[in-house]
Amino acid sequence: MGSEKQLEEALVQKAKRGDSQAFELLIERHYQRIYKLAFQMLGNGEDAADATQETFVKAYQQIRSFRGASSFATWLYRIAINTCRDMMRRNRAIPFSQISPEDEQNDFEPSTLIEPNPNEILAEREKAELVWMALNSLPEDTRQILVLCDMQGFSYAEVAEILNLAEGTVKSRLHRARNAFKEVWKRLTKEQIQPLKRPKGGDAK
Amino acid sequence: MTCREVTELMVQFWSGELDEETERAMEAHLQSCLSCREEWAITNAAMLALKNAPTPEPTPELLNRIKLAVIAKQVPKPAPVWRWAFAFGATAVVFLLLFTSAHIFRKRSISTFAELNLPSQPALRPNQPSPPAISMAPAIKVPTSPRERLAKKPPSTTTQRLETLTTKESGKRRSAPPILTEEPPALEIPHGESLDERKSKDTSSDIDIFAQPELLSPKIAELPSEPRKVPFRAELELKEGLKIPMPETEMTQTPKSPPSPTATTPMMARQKEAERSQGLGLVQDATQMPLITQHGGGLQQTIAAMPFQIRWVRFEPILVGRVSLWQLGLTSESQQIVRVWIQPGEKVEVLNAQQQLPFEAKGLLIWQDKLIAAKEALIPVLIRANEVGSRKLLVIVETAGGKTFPWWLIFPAVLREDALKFRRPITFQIEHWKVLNLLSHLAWESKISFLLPDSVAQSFVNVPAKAIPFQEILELLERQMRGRFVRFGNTLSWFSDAPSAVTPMKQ
Repeated sequence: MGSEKQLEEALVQKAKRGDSQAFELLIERHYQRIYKLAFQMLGNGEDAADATQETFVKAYQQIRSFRGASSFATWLYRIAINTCRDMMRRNRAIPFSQISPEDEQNDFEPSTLIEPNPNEILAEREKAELVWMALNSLPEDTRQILVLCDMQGFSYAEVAEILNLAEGTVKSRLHRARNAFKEVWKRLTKEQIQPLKRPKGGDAK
Repeated sequence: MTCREVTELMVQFWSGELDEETERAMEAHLQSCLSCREEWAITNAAMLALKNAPTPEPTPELLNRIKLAVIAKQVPKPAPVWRWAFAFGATAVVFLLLFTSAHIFRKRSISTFAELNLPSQPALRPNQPSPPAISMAPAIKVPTSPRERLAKKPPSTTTQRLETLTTKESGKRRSAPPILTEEPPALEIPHGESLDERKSKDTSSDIDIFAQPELLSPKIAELPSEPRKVPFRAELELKEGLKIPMPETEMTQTPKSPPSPTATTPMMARQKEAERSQGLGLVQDATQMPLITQHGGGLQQTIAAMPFQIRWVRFEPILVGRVSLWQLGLTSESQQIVRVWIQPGEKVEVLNAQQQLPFEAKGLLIWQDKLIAAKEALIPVLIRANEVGSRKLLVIVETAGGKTFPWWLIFPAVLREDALKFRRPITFQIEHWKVLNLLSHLAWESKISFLLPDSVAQSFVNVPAKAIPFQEILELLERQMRGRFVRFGNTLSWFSDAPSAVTPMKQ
């Protein structure tokens, strides 16, 4: 573990001196997790890929200003989160692609054809869809804290560092965010098993 | 504890952040209150779903894409300095050579340059200012490039590569008009280093043909290789960027076997085609070359003669973990027996294809039958993708004579049926794309599947780095690659405007 950290630090130092190979190794080490984070923030693969790329380009341009006060990963996540937030603002007009109304007009959606069974347990896939729908209907701040704490599994301290907040603030925001998520979830699951048609996820907000 | 209090603390109870006393009170309340138990069930389900929501892995192309984007950012800084350094280095070497091996040099420059008809440096490097060495000393200009090429010749002159053979075959027709000079900028890679490499390789096979003892004299072979050592960093790195192994080429790395259909066939329709697709093959990393040239080789004939056409006849979206049935329609110009091989790519299975014994490097056998002239045969393909992302397969049609014609199927593997996404323009940050990679991206972003010959897939196109509507990208590809996409449902099949698909365009 220690050597991992040392290796990463060495790579960062090299990258700061302009060694692009070292930076490429850093990309390789982190891009998958950054992509996942971006996907969770943005809800679709295209934007997530763009955001991941933008994150690393920004990181490359700013690496000289990285002082090492936090870990490189934390610094990178901070850039990623900010990039995603910028992107969310830019894309606000564009509906969440996975649940955009055009998708919902799919004629062959099997669940529109069968009588819903109220006792039916939601299939894993549907659960996942509901998660994205619910997240999408939450405000940006709420979403980001859920993504970091519950989906990415960062500790309070790490999240506090990434978001530049006090730990206590992270805790209270997370608590509020989880409650908000639960409420949306509750509403969506009700919609899911009541009507004959699938819910229009885009209506949530 | 009231129901309201319990509901408020539910989330903290779930994450185990309450003190023991409150926790016990909660538990007691939940035991007795049905509605709070329901609320608890919902909280638990919601939080578990959030924690376990499956997040897709990035597509394999993303890593390459990020690296190229980062490299693109670093190009402008070091370039000017090193370019000049490079130029001066080159000038120095030029003069050095003039003094050391003047007579050999003169002899060779006359013979090779006249015969080779290779493009002059500036034509191949449209994006870069020509080095001052050349512009300041026009007298030296002529010999410079052939010498450099000679110098960069790999130490071993016995190359195994197929194109060596093919070039040899047709080597005597060397006095044909310049070919590569006609090459459109659209199909070139925008940096010098790997072009140099490509030229050097090109000529390495040329040298074999024209082998004159003095041309291979070590003095010439070694001395001018110096300029390459000048750390022209941006370019070197860009080159390395392009060398990142890509899954699609790894996938095809098996076949060494089909006994070089290109080399053995008497017909090499036109020298131009041969040159052209050699050039395309050589753009790639050296390690990938035998393969690509092999496929490219097969296609030289496909394109010249175009005996087959493949298209999609039936398709369905590929949902991860499910088996989907596709049908490919294969039409031949003349009656013949063919075999169809398939190489499943990463995270893809083809369930109705069989491994042959002994092991066949062409892949798994999926179909063999007699094709009736101009009658479409239907080949079922049962596909299962194991992970979300843009996936691909290589389909190889083999004739009774052993010639092979490879085609790529590129498709998105998705978790659920998705509508086509044409509306949103796609933003490009990289201008230079290998068609295969570009289509992998497009397949994912638009949820459309593609089918196209390997020669087209391995070529390069230029795309303006901005947001472009999907339709425009397709048109751009059609223009640059000389063909058209024919849509059938969610699929696009490529039809070459044969034989011009390989003929260099004029711009």
